[in-house]
Amino acid sequence: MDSIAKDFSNEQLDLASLPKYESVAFSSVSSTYLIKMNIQTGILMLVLFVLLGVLWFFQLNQWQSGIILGVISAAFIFRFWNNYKLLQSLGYAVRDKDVVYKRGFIFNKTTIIPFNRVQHASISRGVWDKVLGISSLNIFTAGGSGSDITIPGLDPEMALLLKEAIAVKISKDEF
Amino acid sequence: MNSKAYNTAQRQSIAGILLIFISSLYKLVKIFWAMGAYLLLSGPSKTTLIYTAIGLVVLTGLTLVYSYLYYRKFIFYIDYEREEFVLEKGIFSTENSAIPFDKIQQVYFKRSILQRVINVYSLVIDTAGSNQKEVEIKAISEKDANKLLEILLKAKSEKVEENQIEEEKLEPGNKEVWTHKVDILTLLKIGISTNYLRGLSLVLAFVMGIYNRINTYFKDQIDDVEVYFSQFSGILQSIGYLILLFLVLLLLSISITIIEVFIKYYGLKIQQTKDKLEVEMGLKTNTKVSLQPRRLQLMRINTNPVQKRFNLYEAQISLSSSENELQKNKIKIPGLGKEIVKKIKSFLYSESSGSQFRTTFSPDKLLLFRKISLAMLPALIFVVLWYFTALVSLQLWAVLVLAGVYIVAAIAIQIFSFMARKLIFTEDFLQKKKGLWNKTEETLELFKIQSISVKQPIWYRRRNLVNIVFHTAGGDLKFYAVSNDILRYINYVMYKAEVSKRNWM
Repeated sequence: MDSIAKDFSNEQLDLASLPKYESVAFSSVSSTYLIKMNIQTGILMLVLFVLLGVLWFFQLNQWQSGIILGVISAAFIFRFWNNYKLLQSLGYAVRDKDVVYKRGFIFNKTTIIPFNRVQHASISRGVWDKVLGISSLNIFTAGGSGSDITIPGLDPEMALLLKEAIAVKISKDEF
Repeated sequence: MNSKAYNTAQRQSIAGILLIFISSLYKLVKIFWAMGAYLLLSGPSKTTLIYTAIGLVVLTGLTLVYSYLYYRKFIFYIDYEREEFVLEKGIFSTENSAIPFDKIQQVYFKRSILQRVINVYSLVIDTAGSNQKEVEIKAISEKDANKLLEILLKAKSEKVEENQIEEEKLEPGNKEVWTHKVDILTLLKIGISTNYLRGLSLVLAFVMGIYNRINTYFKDQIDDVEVYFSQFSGILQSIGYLILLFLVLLLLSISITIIEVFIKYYGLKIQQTKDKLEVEMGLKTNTKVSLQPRRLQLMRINTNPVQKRFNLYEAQISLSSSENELQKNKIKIPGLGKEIVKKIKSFLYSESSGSQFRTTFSPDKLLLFRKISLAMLPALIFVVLWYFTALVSLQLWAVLVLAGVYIVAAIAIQIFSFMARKLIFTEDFLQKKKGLWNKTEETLELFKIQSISVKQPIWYRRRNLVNIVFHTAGGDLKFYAVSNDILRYINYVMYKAEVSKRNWM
């Protein structure tokens, strides 16, 4: 046991000197993304309310619709609050050798992709992205969908810049 | 030569508009045909028909406009400076993809009937990874398709040349190093020892059957001991039948498994040459796979105490899924002795020497707590069912005994399997061990990771716990509820991947 403990302390020093992904300075995404999320949530809410209204008109009595209205409202208040928290939790950082992306307030998830494992990067813009003037950057690896990341709510120029920076890194890091 | 061809924005063949138009129309028809059929069958009035016709014309016109815009917005070109192929598409939502030459796995043509009629080709550019990431240009003329294919393949091979040469040099060394054949007796052993679970469930069904039978007798005649004794022989008889039935079923189950094993693995042969491991097996369809250490992503060794006694281990090997063979990227090789497993390992992980360190992580007790709570759920459901419904008709003591036995057993199983769960870091490898009965050992070479995800649900935050997922091209390796001391090792794994100049596939 003694020798193992010795090795262990040796290696701890070594490991501690490695750069820490958890202490990088994250850049946050544009707050316009919050508007996009809220618009999408709002549309969903509107649809549900209309549906409920129709149901209320034809099927339900005051009480039932009241309860459902309460539940839906509570759910959406939570959603809006979560959107806000989500935006705050979104962050990305480009280091020399990898890109780090974190998201999620309740379920926080941080993904680190080394540049020498990136297959390709692309920029996508949905309808709302176009209206609001933001872009998403997608980074693909060969590790399946859990391994890929999509950074939303970027300024289009920033997204392009990042994509090109990544493209350069990918080709530079190859043998 | 036109070495810089396609360096400006290109559109598809003009016939592409037609292709887009027809396929969008087809999509619309697929969505709305039911509505149309309904309209026709309902005996519409003249005005409705006219309105419908106008609507259809407008819709067709809009589709045509859409097709044209889509065609205009679909742009591709080759960026020679950055050495990548760029594709932009989409009217409402745009997508801009760039594929570096050296990431291209394959370039090929496809042609549907429609494409044949309007004389265009589909050019597909495959990158490693899942199918959705491929890029497809749906309407391209034969001339362009050929040229583009040639350029891309050339660019790709130029980029990957260095590695390729290295590989080809190794190729001639086809000398056999060792061969391992799995004989019929071993296959028999595998057949008997693998699917005992099916046997176990049969035993369970059997016990339940007996119980029910006894119960029905008991229920009516619980007080009447006399009658009970007179019926006793009857019960015995029916139990005898049940045992017979059970034995027959068990035999059937085992023989089915054995037949399965024989069909799948008959003639299993592993042969190591200098740079490859050739695996051959199968009675009906002969599978032949060659394993190169380079392609290996994740290896899993399974065994259980019974199989361990027989010296039987099963290796599951995940390979990187390039070259479109998506199904063939996981190979199961059963019936390996301990020495063979060792040989395979030492071949596949040849370059690893001894490790400087070895650190073991165990999950936090929170995971145990969660697993036990989950395991209690069936007991709870059972009790609730018994209490509130007539679905389960049992005496109180029987319920208590059953529930008690289940709870004790479940907790014991959970505790032991919790203790068996381990994640081990060494200098070059990551190993995950788990399983109480079915012991599984997953090994991953550190530099083969694609990326790492660190997850932290909000309720982990106070306890400083994280869930870790290591993504590889052959599947994920997950480890849950581990103390965030592990982050140091995550940084180490990243470091290993980032400094590695070795090819991961």
